[in-house]
Amino acid sequence: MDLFEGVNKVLPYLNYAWKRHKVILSNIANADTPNYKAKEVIMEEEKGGRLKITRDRHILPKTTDGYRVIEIQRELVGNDYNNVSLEEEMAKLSQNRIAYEAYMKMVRGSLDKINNIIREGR
Amino acid sequence: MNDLFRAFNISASGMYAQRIRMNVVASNLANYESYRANGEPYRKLEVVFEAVEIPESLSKGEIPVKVAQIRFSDDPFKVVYDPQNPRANEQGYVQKPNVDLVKEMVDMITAVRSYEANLNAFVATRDMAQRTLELWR
Repeated sequence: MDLFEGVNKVLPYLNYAWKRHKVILSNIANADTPNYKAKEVIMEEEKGGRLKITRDRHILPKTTDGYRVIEIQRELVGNDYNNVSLEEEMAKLSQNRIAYEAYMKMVRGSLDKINNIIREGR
Repeated sequence: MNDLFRAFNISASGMYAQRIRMNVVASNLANYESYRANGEPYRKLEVVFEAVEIPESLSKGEIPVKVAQIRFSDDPFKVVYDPQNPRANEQGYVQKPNVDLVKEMVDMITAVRSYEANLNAFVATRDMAQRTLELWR
């Protein structure tokens, strides 16, 4: 019997949302940095087959927890070789935040259930 | 736990960089008509931003920004014909600082907007962290 099964199921998504949040923060912080390329996190399960490392800066070192940070390849937005779109990043930020709160609610609900059992429903 | 607080540093680095940029814009505007002690016109300052892409933090998705350097611009000085000016040369031309008002104003607005974006991101991080810490209760 796994008491925390519910929590463990949500945990990877929670980690993913947090990691994505940090990447979005990095993109926003570097919105004015010349030569910076926007980054994105992908889950290993989603990428469908192994990606090859063709360039040093292409695919970043493997992470242990099944997420990978990649560079977004996109047409140039500005003349400083920076392809961060601030509007898109802000949109992703609020979207990701809602997702994070939803996952957090699931964890919370699952923990509340256990708590309720411990307190014998009182 | 450290991971939680490092996220704040990313936004903070962005805000810090934009604030430095604001300082530089302010200096350039303040010295719009200044001359240096050696008689040369004031040279406009420029900030150079750089992404801190260290492999270890890159794989964690943490890429703060830093001000790599603040340098003097090599833009040519403005030249104005004004024979009455004590700084005029033999032909009657005066060299003025290479500060471009329009460019500085645009830079200022961009810096403010970027600062706000980082601030919003910071608030989002704070709310998320708070939500996480509420699990204690």
